[in-house]
Amino acid sequence: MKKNLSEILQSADAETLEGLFDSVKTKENPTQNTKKKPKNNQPIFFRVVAVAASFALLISGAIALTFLLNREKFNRPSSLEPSTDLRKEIDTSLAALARSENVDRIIWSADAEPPYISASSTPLEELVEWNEILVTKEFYDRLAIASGSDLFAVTARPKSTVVLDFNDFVYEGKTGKELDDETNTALSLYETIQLLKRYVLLSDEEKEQNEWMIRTIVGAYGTAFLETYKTDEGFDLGLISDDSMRAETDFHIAQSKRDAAQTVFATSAFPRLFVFWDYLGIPVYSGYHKATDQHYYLAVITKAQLALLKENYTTVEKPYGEFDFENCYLSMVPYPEEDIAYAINKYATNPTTPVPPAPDESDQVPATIQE
Amino acid sequence: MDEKALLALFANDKSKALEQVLKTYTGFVFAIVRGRLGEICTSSEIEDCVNDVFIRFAENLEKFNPDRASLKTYLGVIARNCAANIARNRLPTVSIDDDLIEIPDDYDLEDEIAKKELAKTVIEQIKLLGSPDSEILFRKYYLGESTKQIAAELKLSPSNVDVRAHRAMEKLRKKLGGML
Repeated sequence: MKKNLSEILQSADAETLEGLFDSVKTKENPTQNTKKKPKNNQPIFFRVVAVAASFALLISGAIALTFLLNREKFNRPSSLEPSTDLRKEIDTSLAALARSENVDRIIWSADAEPPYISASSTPLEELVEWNEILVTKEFYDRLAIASGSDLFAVTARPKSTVVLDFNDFVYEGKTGKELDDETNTALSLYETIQLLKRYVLLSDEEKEQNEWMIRTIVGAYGTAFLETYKTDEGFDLGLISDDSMRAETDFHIAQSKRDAAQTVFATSAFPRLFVFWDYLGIPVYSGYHKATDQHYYLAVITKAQLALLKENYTTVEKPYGEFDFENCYLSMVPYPEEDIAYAINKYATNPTTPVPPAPDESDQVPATIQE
Repeated sequence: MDEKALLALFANDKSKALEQVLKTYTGFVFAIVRGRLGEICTSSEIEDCVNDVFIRFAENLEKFNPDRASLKTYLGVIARNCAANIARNRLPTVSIDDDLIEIPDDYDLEDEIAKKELAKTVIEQIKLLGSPDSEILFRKYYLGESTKQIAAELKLSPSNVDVRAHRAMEKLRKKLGGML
């Protein structure tokens, strides 16, 4: 039988949970006095406004701090196209990698993060410079003992300190900021209708004590908003409930779209290097991890090719913008067995999809970076 | 004031000790409650929930055993349960397949002791996953925080949180496969 992890954890006692709360960072208390206040002693509306203001200060302070704490701004060229366009440039799937005659020669990582992990958790102190490019310690150690013709499966990631600017990223015609705003607006509307619903369901006495609810709603959306739900007999609960469901759906749609944009955004900075490698004739494969719906690239490159990477980079046209060597690093990847199986299965079960050809791994290497 | 001194104060002056608990742990309790209710409750409702946590703590003070858990953990559990009760009434429970763990059929899940033992085994394995995976699973499946909140707290991207949670669940299932 199967059981949800959430349900299992609910039964845990405090003794078992010891230590796990240590990661919860204390937040600034938004109120001066946490003792229960009598409901009618002071206008609750002002208390709500004060608390809301404290929250706003707290949140804006936290955001400002995040940017101040040694974060490097990612150098994103304004001409960067969405990754979906870049992906079209490289259509060689992992199925082709499996058919490649060199597949048995490739050196895979023993313990690096899988290629579908786009954001790095590798500490900066574990990054080492090798021939003017940053690589992980594991990769560095393997390169030190490798011969020039040894093949490595690699991917590129931003440093863990890099903050990507989602606000300017365009996804399906809208910027990240617009998608964020739409999600927040949809959530605000949903919460407000829910608040109205709660108010309508109160007894007359409770309504008197909770007039702040109405003031909050009017403050946010005006009296016209309330009028739409009023009839001669009072508020129309049926209409409120319908609108609440609709607003919840709208919120989830906006949230899904924003989340999808964030996923694409997180992976969009790296295809630039892979497109460049593809131009050089270095085999690049597009992978897809079905369980997490993540697209990624990995390149198969020799030590000798890698040694000349920086030198060759300056000579090649880069229509999608510069790759940020300062803020990104290369890492070996573990063998993506599950993704290769998925790719092979996809082409095997869909006869209309042509199997991508395996790139020729010897002829396409430009003379400048051949051994 | 550290926890040891605070506990000593309880023996001498209970009301002063409670006041000190409020002073020391309100921010911590607030973080847990806001993590769970921040997206579905108003500020004043969150504040009320934080207050309820301390009221419940004061009412059940005799149940607290410092030999078994720290004051912080004890308050954390109360805070999580208070917030979960409110959240349960606000949002429909959504079943997530990614969250499922295989339990042997002969496990008696009606038995409270068996349930506690199962939770203990699972939590020990979660702790062994290491940071940040153990924190992600704890926050997601125990505290009920959203991906966005976890990402903000742990300084990761939301997609990375989801991916890590997925991988951590896979690891956990593998580890538990031979233990249950």
